[in-house]
Amino acid sequence: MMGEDPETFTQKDVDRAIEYLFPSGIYDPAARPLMKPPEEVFPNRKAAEFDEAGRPHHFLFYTGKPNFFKLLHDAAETIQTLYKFEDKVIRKKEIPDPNAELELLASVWITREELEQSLVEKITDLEYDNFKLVMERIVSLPYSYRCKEFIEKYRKPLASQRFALEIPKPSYDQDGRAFITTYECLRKKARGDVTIRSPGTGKITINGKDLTYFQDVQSREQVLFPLIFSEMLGKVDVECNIEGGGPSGQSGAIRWGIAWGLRSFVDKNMLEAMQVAGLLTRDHRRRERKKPGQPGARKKPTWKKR
Amino acid sequence: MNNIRIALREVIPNRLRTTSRNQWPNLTQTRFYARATSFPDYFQNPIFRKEDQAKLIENNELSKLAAIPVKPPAACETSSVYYDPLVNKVINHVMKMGNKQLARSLVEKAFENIKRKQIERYHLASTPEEKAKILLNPKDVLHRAVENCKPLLQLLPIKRGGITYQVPGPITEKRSLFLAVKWLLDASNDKERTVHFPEQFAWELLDAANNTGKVVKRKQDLHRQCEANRAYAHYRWQ
Repeated sequence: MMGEDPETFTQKDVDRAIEYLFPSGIYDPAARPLMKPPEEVFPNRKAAEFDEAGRPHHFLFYTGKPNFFKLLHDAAETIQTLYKFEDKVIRKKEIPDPNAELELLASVWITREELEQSLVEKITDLEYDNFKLVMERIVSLPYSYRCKEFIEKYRKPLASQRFALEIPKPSYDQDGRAFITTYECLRKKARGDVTIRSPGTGKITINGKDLTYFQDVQSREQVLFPLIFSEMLGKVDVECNIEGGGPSGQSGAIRWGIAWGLRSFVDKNMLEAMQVAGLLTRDHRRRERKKPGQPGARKKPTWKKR
Repeated sequence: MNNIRIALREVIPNRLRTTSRNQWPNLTQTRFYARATSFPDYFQNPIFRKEDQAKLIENNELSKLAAIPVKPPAACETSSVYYDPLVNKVINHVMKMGNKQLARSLVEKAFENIKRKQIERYHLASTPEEKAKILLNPKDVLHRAVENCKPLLQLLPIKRGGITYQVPGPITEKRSLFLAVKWLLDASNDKERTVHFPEQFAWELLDAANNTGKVVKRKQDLHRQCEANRAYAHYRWQ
């Protein structure tokens, strides 16, 4: 069929074929024709909840939200078992294992929508708050690490450690100096690229000029910030091409570009320090638009009674 | 292949699909931006000063924190030795209509004036003991001035039986810092038109650092008022 091997025909090929066979001018991608297994298209639905005699299967059926209350029931049971375990350990005069402690900083509770999807039930805000409250209660117990699986089922990891992945190896120019170029350094409306050469003498070139390209001290400080922080000031040369935006945006873009490029020249401890200092976070914020009917993005007109 | 044949029957325009998923169309108006204008609330504040990070390294918390998303430092923050959070705070209080460049230049000019005056005093001082007493670093002068101006108590207007009483009570660290900086700036702005702000601000800072002057007097007045109104203190909870 269409010169394709049916054995290796994947969902990706299906999508491509549909796009070709049913060309659609509809703007929203979610409104275009598609062909997918029905379980991906239609949301999960509850199976029959009654047996032949008309009795509900689930023991919490008459609560109206059996899956949700089963979850709370399980959580309460977990708390009880943890209490019992704690009593037992206290009688033995032991203390909780400090190494096994749960690390919850890098994850958050799943959102209400995700919980609704996994339970196949609609949940109110109040019920979601109750869910979070009971889960927090479990986490606060000293032996919560014993029910790690139960807790992690309802937690979602935050984007993390991305800074340490795929650090590019620097290339070498004719003089034998290592160099690395970071393209797409963005901040506000400014965009540009930053090249770092090592070893260097600390020379900084911004659009062919030196640091005095920036009139104000604050922008100059920003350019030097990652170099001072990583103690590389005077050890590398920096060349930047930057356009668009104002001094604050341009210096911010260069700051990020330098920090991103320096990853190839610093050790792992310094990488972590730079991450904690927020130097490796791309600042993707943009100016918020003005809204009609009010003087600014958030500012409302002064309230007048009459 | 079988799978696909089943699925072929399901080629449906997506409009149907969306309506089946959200049975209730979204009627409430929501904000939607193509790009975020702020960071999500799970982003932590950055710890960018070397001395703060040294504490983290001591407690072995650095690698733990490195796993969490962190906001980038603001455009006015650096890890340079010349950066001082209190100075930044004062600059922000001096700032009008977001003109930070001017505010910063005014505060730096005031620091220059302080430095000049203090060096003059230093050379006029005769004995080494007197010389050692003189603060030559303007940032030290600012820190001491703010410390001397911070009130320890505040008066809260509380209405009891139709009469508003000025009731003394404790003050938070943040508010006392705010009041100290505000009073210093109020005192500096209360000047002749011919005197420039940096000059007057330098004088106020020097006076306050010396535990004299208008601002310290204002603080003491507040304390005296609190002392006089101590009979009303029970209105805070009654």
